Amino acid sequence: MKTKRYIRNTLLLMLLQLISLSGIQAQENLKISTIFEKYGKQKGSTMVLFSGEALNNYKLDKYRSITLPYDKNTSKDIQQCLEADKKSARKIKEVISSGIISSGYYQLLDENNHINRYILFKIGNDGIATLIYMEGGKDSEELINKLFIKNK
Amino acid sequence: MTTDIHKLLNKYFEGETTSEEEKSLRNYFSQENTSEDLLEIAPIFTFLEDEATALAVLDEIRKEETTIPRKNKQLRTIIWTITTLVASFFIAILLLQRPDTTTQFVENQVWVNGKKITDSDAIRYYAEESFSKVKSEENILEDQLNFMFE
Repeated sequence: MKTKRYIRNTLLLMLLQLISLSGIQAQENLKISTIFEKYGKQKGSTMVLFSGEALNNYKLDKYRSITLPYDKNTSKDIQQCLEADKKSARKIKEVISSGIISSGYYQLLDENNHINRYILFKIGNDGIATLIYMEGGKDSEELINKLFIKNK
Repeated sequence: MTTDIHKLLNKYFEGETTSEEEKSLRNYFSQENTSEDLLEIAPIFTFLEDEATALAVLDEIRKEETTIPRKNKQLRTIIWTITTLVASFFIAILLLQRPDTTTQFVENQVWVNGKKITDSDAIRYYAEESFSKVKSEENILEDQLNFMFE
């Protein structure tokens, strides 16, 4: 009886710690991370990993981007990742051509960490795909929205 | 002394001894120089002396039984807590050390065709360039966003 109680308490404690860890790791838990990992250092790709004070003016904490030739393999991978990640999106704006996402804007809110996360994606006319991940505080939302409104 | 013992014994068998007097009797019979005429009744008092010792030992055992489990319980709780914390710590390390996720994003860098660049101006340039690709003039997405935001 006592042993059962110890095991239960132990498991609960471990579970709580894992939950807190998953909160810390929230920004890394998106599927698109695999795109950066898989294609970021390949020939033909350009990957930017940017964080720190330089981004403060944009109210952002983290900026990652990858541009890469959009072929059959990358298309499949990216589309699958976007489809998975957009399930947790708060705002979704996307253009779908011939069944695939040709451009997309996804805003993901992480309630636990009080951060906003953004995924931007576009396939250019030159056949180059650009995938961007951004992360910032609550006040980043207004600025990001402004950047995407065309000046008239 | 012997006369006193005989008096006490008489008193004892008449049931009139006090506990102090009975203790004196037990002490007397526990000694080795007991007079021979009293050896016959000595076991009565040595037995009582032994019983008293046994009861005292039993009391001590009972006391230990009540304190030891409590100590053991506390010790087990501490061991479980420490084990849990250590296990969680190692799990945390394993999670945080997933390759190419956390560590590579700590440093500002650009990878162009598999080559790493850490120059801050170059990083800024490539960051702006990538951003402009998503946010170009002919951007369908931008039009869509305008529609949504307005």
